[in-house]
Amino acid sequence: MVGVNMMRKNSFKLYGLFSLRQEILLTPVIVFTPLIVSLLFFYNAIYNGFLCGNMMYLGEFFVGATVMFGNLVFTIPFLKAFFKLRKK
Amino acid sequence: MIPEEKTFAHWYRRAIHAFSAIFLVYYIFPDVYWITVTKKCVVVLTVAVFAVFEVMRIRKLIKNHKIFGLREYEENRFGSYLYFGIGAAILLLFFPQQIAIPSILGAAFVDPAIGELRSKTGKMTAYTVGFTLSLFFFSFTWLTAPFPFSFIAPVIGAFGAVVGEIKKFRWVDDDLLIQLIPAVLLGILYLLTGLLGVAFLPSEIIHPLPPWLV
Repeated sequence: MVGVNMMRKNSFKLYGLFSLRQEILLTPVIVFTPLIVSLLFFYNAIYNGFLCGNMMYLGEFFVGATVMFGNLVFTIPFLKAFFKLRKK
Repeated sequence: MIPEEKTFAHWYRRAIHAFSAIFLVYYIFPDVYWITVTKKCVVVLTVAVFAVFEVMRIRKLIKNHKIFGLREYEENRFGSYLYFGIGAAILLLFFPQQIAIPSILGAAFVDPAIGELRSKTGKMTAYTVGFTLSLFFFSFTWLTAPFPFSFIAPVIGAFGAVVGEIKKFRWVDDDLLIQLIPAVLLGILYLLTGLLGVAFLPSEIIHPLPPWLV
C-alpha cells in the first residue's frame, strides 16, 4: 500500500514536471548553454592560444565572444519579458 | 494571449535564434576515434527526431500540438526551427568550417537583428545593418584567405545572407535560405577554384580540443 501511494505521489510529481510549459522549462537551457559553450571557446583560446603564444587560436576567441555577446543581446530582453510575465 | 505573453513569445523566438549559435561547438570536438562518427550521428539524429515530431504535430497526432512561439503560418507547415536545423546540419556535414561558421553565425544573429530593426528603423536600415554584420562575420573568418578572396568572399557571403533574408517563400523558411545561399555561392567558388588549382580557403578558425581532453 505504501509502495502504491509512493508511486502515485511520484507519478504526480513527474506529471507536474512535464506539464510545466515548455518555454519555462527551456529558459535555463536558453540562458546558460550559450554561456557555457562560449566559455569552452575561451578556454581553448586562452589555454592553447594565448598561454602558448599561438595567435592561430584568436578565431576561437572571436567565436566565443560572438556567441556570448550575441546571446546576451537577445537573452536580456527575453529574461525581462519572462519576469514581467511571471509577475502577472 | 495577453500583451506580456506576446512580448515573451517574441523574445523567446529571438533568444532561440541566438541560442542556435551553439551548434558551432561541433568543431571543437576532435575528428578522431569514435568522436567523428558520434558527432555526425548526433547531428543527423537530432534533425530526424525533430522532423518526425514536426510531421506528427502538423498531422495533429500529438495531444498538445501547439508549440509556444510558433507563428500562425507555421501551424500547417514545418516550424522555422526545423529549417534552421536542416540548414545547420547541411553546413556542418558537407561544407568546410570556413564557409559554415559565418553562415551559421549570420542565421543566428543577423536574422533576428534584421527582424528587430525592420519594425523599428525600416527595411533599408535593417538590411544595411544586416549586411554589415554579416560582412563582419565573413571578414573575420576569411581574414587569412589568399588575396583577393579575403575581400571577395565576405562580400559574396554577406550579399547571399541578405538575399536569403529578403526573399520569402511560403514553404521554405528564410532561416534555411540565410544559411544556404551564402554557403552555396561560396561552395561553387570553392569548387571552381579547386578545379583551377587556386588556393581559396583561409585557415580554420576553430581548432578541436586535444583528443585526450574529450
